Amino acid sequence: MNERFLRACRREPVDATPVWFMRQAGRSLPEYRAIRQRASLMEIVADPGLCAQVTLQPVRRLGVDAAILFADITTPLPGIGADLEIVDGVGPVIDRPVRTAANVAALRAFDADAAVGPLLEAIALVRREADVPLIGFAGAPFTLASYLVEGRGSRDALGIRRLLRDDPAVAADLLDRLVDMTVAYIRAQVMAGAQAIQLFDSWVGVLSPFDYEREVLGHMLRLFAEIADLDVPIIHFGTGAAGLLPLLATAGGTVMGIDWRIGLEAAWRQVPDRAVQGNLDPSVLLGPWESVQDQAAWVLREAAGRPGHIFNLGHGVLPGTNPEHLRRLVDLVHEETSRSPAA
Amino acid sequence: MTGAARLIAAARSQPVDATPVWFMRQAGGSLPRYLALREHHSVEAIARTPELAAEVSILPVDAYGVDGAVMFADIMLPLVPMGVGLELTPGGPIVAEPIRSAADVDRLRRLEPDADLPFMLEAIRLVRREVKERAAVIGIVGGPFTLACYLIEGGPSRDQLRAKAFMYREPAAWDRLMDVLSASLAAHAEAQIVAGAQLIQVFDSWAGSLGPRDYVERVAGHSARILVAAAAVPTIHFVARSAGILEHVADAGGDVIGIDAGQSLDDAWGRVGLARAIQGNMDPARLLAGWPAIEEGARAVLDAVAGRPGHIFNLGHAAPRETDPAMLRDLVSLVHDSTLRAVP
Repeated sequence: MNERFLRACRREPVDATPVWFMRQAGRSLPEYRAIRQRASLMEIVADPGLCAQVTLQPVRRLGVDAAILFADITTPLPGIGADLEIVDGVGPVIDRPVRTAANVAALRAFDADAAVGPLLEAIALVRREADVPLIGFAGAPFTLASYLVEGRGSRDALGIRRLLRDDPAVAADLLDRLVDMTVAYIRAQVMAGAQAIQLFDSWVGVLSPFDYEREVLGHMLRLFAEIADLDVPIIHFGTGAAGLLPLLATAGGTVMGIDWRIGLEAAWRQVPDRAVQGNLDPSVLLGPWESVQDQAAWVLREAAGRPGHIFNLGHGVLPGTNPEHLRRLVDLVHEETSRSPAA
Repeated sequence: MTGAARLIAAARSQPVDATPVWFMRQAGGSLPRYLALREHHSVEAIARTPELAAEVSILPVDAYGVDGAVMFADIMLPLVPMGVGLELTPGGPIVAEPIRSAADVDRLRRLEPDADLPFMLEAIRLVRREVKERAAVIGIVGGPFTLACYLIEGGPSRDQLRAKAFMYREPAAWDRLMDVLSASLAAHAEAQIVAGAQLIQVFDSWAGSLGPRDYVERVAGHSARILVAAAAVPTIHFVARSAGILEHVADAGGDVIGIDAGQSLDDAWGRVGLARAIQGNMDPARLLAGWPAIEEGARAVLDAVAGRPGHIFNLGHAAPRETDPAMLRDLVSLVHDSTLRAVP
């Protein structure tokens, strides 16, 4: 078993900097697109064999140091009664948005086996086959709430922010239920074999520090408290959240995931007691190899060989990314950072 | 102090009798007179007609009591005489033939503001004559990165991916593009000052989609060129979503650094340096959430300022178009009334 990734999460010395990519499984790989010819995203997630296969594709092709479970951030939501479909070009669309006290009260408790049984089976299948650790995956409550209230992804998340102000009790009830769901979902993934969890707060960057602290932080603290007994690292990642980083760290996380809009060194200075994951601008991979090389080397210089760096992009792999760039990038990171493990 | 004196003094970090306030996109929005004008005129027609542009720029001075009269203009209009086909639509500007190659860049012609944009300069003269000392006239220019993004993307975009891919793929053409844009925008800023603008805001809405290294190596120098050209008056340098690159934005220049709501003001000011003035940063989403939310947001900003000289109250980004004008008027009063002080 390749332990680099897990060691780096714990800020232990490693033989080379571990690397994986958000959205490494998916649209940039031809073998994934071949599967998508015959199965939708929701069908893949509902089929343990296919899901495991898609999860493992990038491990085989790219040589990354971790697999990440192939699922959507909204995958557990039907398990509390929020049915949805995933529409090409739009993303997840919730059948009946959750906006009133009655809508929230109608949500049911999350039963992981009933809701995401096939996904848990896929975790076991991946564990049997992979020689790298498997990262489980969950959305953070604020981001999930923004999908539920808006009915779909929304750039400014105004729906949930309005609910927080106009009907704080209903909003708090919704966030509470999403914390409960996320705790159960994460626990089930770890029981099934996930060796780390990435918690994704995609929309949290719309909040001011003042609003995050008041509206969201308490829910996040409870979430982290209720998974604190799990012996796996948690990667806490927020997009566009450079101004919130210390607050996100206060909420929790063994590893802080950072996007590319902040220098890795400056970010690490704000959270010196954590491991850091990131942060190559994914758009660099749309350009020539020379600029990938140059920009990746800069990220590594910013990390300066400190223990606890996990190389990743600052956000998911973009459509149109050349998988050959990704493969060469994995090699480059390994070669540039090779060192004796007993350092 | 008059509104104009207050805003200019704060921009120079000098003492003021009350904190000056203005709002990005205050001209336009939901003011009844503006809505009435819009029934008969397009946004572009208003921007191109000096009397109308001046009237719309002055409306918020009368309606809200703001200390700055920012010109009603679109940051994209200077591109038209540079050879860019452009349509201003409700969803944002649409470029007829986006830049796709280095050859496309070389077709752009450098702006000559006096000949190319006489209507904008005339509107500034009219506003200056009309508002007198009630408010300072703020001229605006787009940031070179933001304009380059529009030119390459062809319109508004979420992550500016096409523009960034062009920047990585065609670094020499990118530099030439930024060069012709910054030379043109520098000239435009100078012409606005000659016409009567008392401050210049450089509006680089999208530069926050860059990491610090790309911002420093491919953008900051071009922004600096504009800010230096405008140095005859106080300059405001605003970049949205700048929390990760703020020091570099400040290094590029500006007497005042404008910040968005995604960072705390006191922390941001510390990074910029307290010798420099700061503008911001109430979350514009609060304007749609009723008075208690507005009052709370405004007080949080003023608390973070803690009475230091050199603060200009503003939103973290443009005011939503549907904002109730009464809320903006009350917000101006709140800021003025709760920051009253004796000038030494």
